[in-house]
Amino acid sequence: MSAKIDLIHEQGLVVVHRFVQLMRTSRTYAVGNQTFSRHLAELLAGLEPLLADGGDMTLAVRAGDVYLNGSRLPLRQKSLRFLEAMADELGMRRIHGLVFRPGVTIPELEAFMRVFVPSEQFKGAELAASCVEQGLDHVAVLLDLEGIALDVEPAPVAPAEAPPALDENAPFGPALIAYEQALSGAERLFATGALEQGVEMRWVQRLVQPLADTIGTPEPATLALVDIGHEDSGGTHAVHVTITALAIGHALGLARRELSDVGAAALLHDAGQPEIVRVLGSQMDHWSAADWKDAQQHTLLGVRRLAVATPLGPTALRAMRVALEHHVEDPQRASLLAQIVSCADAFVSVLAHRAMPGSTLTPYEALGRVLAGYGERWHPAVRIALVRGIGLYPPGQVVRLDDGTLTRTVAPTADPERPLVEAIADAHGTLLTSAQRWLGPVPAERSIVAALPLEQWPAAQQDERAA
Amino acid sequence: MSMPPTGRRTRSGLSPAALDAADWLEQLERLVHLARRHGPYASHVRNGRERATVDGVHLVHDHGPIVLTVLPLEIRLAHESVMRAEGDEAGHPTRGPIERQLPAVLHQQGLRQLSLLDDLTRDEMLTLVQILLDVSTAHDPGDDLVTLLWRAGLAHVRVRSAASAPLQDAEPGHSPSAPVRVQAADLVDDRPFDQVLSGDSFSRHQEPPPPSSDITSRTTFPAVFGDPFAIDGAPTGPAPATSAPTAGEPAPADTHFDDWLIPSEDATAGALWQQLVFDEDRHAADFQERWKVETSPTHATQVRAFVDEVRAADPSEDMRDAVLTSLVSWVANAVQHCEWSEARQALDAVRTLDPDGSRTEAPLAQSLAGLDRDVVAERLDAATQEEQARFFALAVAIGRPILDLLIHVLAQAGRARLRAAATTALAYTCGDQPDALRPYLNDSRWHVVRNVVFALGQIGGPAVMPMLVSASRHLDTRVRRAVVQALGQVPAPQRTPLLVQQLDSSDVPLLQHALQLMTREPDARAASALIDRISAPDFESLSPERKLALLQTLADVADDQAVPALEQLLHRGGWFARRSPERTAAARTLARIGSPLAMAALQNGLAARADAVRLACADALDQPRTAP
Repeated sequence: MSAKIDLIHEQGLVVVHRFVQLMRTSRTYAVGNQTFSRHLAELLAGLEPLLADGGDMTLAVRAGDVYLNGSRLPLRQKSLRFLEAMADELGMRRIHGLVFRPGVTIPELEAFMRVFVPSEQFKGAELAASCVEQGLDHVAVLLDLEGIALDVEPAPVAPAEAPPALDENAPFGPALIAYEQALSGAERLFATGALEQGVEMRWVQRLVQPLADTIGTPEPATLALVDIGHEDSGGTHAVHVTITALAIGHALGLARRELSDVGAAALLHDAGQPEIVRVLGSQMDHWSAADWKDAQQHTLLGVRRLAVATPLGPTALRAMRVALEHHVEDPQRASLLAQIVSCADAFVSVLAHRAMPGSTLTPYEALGRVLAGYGERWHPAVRIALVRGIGLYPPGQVVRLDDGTLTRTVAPTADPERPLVEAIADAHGTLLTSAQRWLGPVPAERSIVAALPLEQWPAAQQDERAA
Repeated sequence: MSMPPTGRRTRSGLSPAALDAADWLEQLERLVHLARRHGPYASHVRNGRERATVDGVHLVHDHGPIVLTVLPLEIRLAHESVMRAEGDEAGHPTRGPIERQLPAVLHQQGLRQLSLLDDLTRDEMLTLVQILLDVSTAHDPGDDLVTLLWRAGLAHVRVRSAASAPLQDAEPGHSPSAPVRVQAADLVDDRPFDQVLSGDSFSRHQEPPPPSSDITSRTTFPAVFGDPFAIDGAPTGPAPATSAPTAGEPAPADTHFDDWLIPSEDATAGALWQQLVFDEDRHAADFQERWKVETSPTHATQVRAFVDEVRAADPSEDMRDAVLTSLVSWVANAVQHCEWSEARQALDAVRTLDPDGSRTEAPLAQSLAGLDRDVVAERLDAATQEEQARFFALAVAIGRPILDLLIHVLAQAGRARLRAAATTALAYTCGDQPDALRPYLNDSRWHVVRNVVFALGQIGGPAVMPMLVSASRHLDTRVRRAVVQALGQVPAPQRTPLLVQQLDSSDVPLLQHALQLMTREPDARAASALIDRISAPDFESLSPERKLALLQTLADVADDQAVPALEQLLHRGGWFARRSPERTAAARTLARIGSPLAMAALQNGLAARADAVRLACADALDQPRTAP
């Protein structure tokens, strides 16, 4: 369904809300009363966007459903009462709908409400006749649905550039689908201000759960860590941290409920960053030492943002705690949950440096740097779980087998020292063709003898880095 | 698509599997209704749950796998419709509101398809049914059906859910200028996706995961990430799947900054790993122990601790307001779930930061206004006295923001005890500001207005008088009677004018009540009004009950001022006067007044020519000088 149809539906729900609210107001205040008039103005304000294109706006009711211009308004928890109330109000007056036309004014709406409100007086044909007698040109009632097309399916709107559909039966299909959906969802969460408008944690968890499903399987979403870039957006970074945190959590043996919370907290851990960027500017190279000190406040800002954005429940509380604590250095002060996300965040961030032009850092070296430089912040079990979760040779690392074959790591397995690999070059360093390659766990008879530094990687990758 | 006739579902043509599925779904729906009313763990709900579990297992064993497709108003088994939202010809729901019928409940929870696979166990079915009951009783923003099913990790249950969140959903009564708290914006596109619910195995394709050697048959690293080592035309460079930035919004990368430096420490991961893994078991045990300690406190305890930490780290007003917003949502959520103790804890947390409630009154009112009030009302109606008392204590503590909900409970209450408790709670809640009840006097339901009047009576005092005056004009006699009762708590000087107005009421009980109140404290206006009524030309046309009631009251409030009117009444009819209750009452009233003037009137009466007059006076004089 196109975004435009969604917006029309949303506005239609607003109109229904305001109409029902107006009817409730009429029980207390007479038509013409100041309070009533204020609600009437709000109703008109709600109608105007729907009349803007010059066409009539029809609200029709059939079998309890409310249709806006032939398209059924969606049923939602908070709207259902109002949709039902709308249907009741019309049913009480033995009509099937209302029609509003461009150019409708407040006086006309008021005149309409004077005959509409007293339901015991005007019903059905009498109501319709009263509207005519009042000279109402821009408001009318529907006595039946003849000629009104309902269940109109909106024409599908083809996206300008539809991404190629991922095949769930392809290698790593489910993981990639989950990854793509998580990226898309995270981008909308952070880039469109959805947090400011409020979000329920169940929807955040909906993004995380499919990723969690792949962790610990032969085709986990951890392979997406090869996709980490230096200029990743906040949403993309959040998804990478989520995947890593889920891998750590799985390695720690956390239950599904806890994994889900880990993932949600990881997704939201940097909720406070956009505000910092907004204030200090996006040119981080120009930030002063004082700016960087201020930037540390993003943890508290994250708490503040999440506190307002989502209803408080156990998952939301955990997310806020992680937002607050994920840079705490003392492992006795930071919660274990925050340490999991902190560890994941550190690894993803350091790994992202690898993608900077001129960087010679490999995934294996990044892991070493993180464990050596930040390891004391985290419980030893968390550090162990990081290695078990992403492998001793993280995805993207080139390793040499004992027979000289060069392989690149694809994903971790149950043995962190024997990952899933793809052969890329022979013992002489000659790159293999796609037909010569194989992908699988390190064969039982083979072992990894070295994680290669960047200068020893096959020529194609090195040249790219040098550029 | 036309709806079937009211109350009957057409089942002809359904396959045996569809019939059984339809029966099972109907059973589930009834169970959900029961759970809404009594809570998901009430004893008779548990009994129903057992039956639904057994029937569900039989359904799967007899006809499995069962794949149910969920639409907003319908549930289908393959192409057969096994449950539809029902309405009458005008579209009014017949199995309760549409949003409470099972298709809508499941659809709103995000469910689009539910697959029950062969070998589904009884425990799995029991878990499924219990989860359904848990989520159906009240909306939870954190844990919905899909989430709970995912957490349960049921090996033989598959779910296809809506990936997208509901679009913006304005708060009821939202006005453009009011702050809006809306539901989730779109998070992802609307394509449904399968969610694997099994906890242990990756069972997406219904076959066991391929053994490791099979993976070697797939020689391709996923091309979506590019291939920097390709030498034969394969794409190079990464192809991230991120969305393009929305027009007008800052570029996505601009919202994120790198907050971790590359450490200078350089140690090989392998060496560090060997050090770590040496003591892995001990570390794991220590982690589990700490994790247990960290996660064992109750939610309320954890919230309190967190709030303290946050306030210590940031005591600013902005943070306080943000935390209060969060705590208010907690209150509302607990109320929605009828968890009164938790709601009280949440409220206490609010009051710690906002002792006088001034900062949170409006947000609380807004949050509570958005609740499904029917759920709360139904639950209270079936609750024990103790649970009801907890709710009302909470309501009094919350105060004005919960008024709408209290009124709703009052309006929906089917039991007198609950109505009485709600009325008392209203009185306590509005004791300091009775004017808060004014809007509810315009409610279209007489019993609501009547109970609000009761509450005003319980509050008492002069402040309630204007509202009682307004209510005294209500069309329903029962409301007007309640007004008179309520006047008992208003000081006599303020209430007398309104009581006087009631003297013209044709409703005898109301009149008697009003007259009773008049006698409590002598008031010249009351006596004067009574005398006027007795002296009025139309007094004779009043019903005997009304005449007697007025006369009897006059005895308690009147003085010599009443004697002329009483004497006139005594002698009414002249020569042809007959015995009548009014004449007797008039004589007795004179005797009760007992003043020289009154006694003189009686003595005159003894000498009257009409027998009826003489007898009435004789009776009165023989009577003791007490109330007639």
